[in-house]
Amino acid sequence: MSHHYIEFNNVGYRYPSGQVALENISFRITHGERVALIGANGAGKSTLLNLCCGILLPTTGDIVVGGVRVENKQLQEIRRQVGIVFQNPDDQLIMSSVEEEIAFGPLNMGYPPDKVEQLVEQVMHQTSTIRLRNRPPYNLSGGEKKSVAIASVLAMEPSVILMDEPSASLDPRARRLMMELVESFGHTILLSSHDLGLAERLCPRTLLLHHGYLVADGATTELLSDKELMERCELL
Amino acid sequence: MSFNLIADTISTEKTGRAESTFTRYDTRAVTLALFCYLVAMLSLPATNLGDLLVMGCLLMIATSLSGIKLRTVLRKSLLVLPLVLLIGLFNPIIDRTPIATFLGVIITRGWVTFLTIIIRGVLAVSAVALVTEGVGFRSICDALRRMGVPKLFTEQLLFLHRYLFVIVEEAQEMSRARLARSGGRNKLRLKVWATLIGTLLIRSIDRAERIYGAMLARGYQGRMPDRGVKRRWHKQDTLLLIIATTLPIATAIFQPIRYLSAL
Repeated sequence: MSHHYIEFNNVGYRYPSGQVALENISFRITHGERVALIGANGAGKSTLLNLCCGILLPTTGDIVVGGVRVENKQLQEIRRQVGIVFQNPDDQLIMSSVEEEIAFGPLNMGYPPDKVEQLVEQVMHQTSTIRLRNRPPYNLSGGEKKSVAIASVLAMEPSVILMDEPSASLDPRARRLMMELVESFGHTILLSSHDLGLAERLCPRTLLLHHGYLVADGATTELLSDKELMERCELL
Repeated sequence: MSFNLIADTISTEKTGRAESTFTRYDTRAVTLALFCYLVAMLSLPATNLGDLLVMGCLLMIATSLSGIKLRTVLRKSLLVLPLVLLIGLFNPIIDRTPIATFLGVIITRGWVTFLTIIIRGVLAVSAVALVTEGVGFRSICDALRRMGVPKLFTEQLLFLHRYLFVIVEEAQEMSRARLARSGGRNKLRLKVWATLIGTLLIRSIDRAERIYGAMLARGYQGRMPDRGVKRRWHKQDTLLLIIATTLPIATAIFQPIRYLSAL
């Protein structure tokens, strides 16, 4: 197996309308790396994350996650390895209590009930959602919903965590708590964000997308200090 | 009617099931008791107002024993009131057969059936609201599945429940956006209504697709997962079932108030 956990080889994606979302994307992410994916609106960040976990399949090129090619027949395996935290937790939280929400993924994975119980307890402690256990998810605050969404993904024991705009609509305190939580993870993380401060704090490496093309891949501090590049990519 | 009221009404999980005594019993017993109550109550003759009120009293007793506020249950039944009024609206006009006089005023059969339709509607929705508030919608679906109702049907119920929220949330957001730009004019022209409903449908489909995508990402394969923790049937469940089914069924069969008033 490759020591690269996520590999994109000349990946392209076109929407059914024919509009190009991503073109000729290639990069590699190794085990335990935390990588930020930045870019202006419509740059293709969410599409790239959806490709990583098989919600969308590439129209050209190959994606390999943990040695498994992302294709229709491998989707269950890909979803076992890759967890995704969506931008809007309301789209993710579907069960009637926080506990059931967190158990949803592991049960779908076919884990035995006692292991599910153990995982639910563990991630509720890890994400400080234990006090929300019996609350309905749609009644929580934005920060609490985000924590539950993260917990529901952690309970699936993924090797890779994808996060789409993790700081979106969070107040400063909830944002800080979320960052502390992500910092405590040992997973391979790819997070897309407009929040450059968050990218700088959490991710040593950054991928910069612009109009569907990968225009830069390097150290976060270096990329963010390149004002000309940031302006050209509509991030300043 | 405000979207908040609709959202609150279809919400069955807000008050916290820990407060409800129903959680001490097997949900199958509670669901069967609800089913028997509904059948018994709805099988009363259309003009039997007295025994319908007995059914109302039984529901009030059940509510007070459950620990759930009567106000919460009644508020949920408000949503169906306009529909029920519409159903019974023509009864007083069509059926003018006099059946009694009260303080010199002739009471027609149409008015009595109109009243019983309203009471039945409110009682039926209140009973369902009481149980869903007490044990949660998902538990009822689990109970139905354990009683042999096809999984396909119970899954559809769960999704219907979930997607009702999606539509109401989208409608709420659209309503807020419209009000914010309405300049104080609350009335909507028919053309605007049609546009809003079309947009609501498209937005709801988009949202439903995002939710489905999120479910797939967490390993969903077309079947809602089961926790595998099944509560066993106890003596107290049998006792609850006997009491909660005997009283409404006996009321429906013997109709004590009608019998007493005939004496």
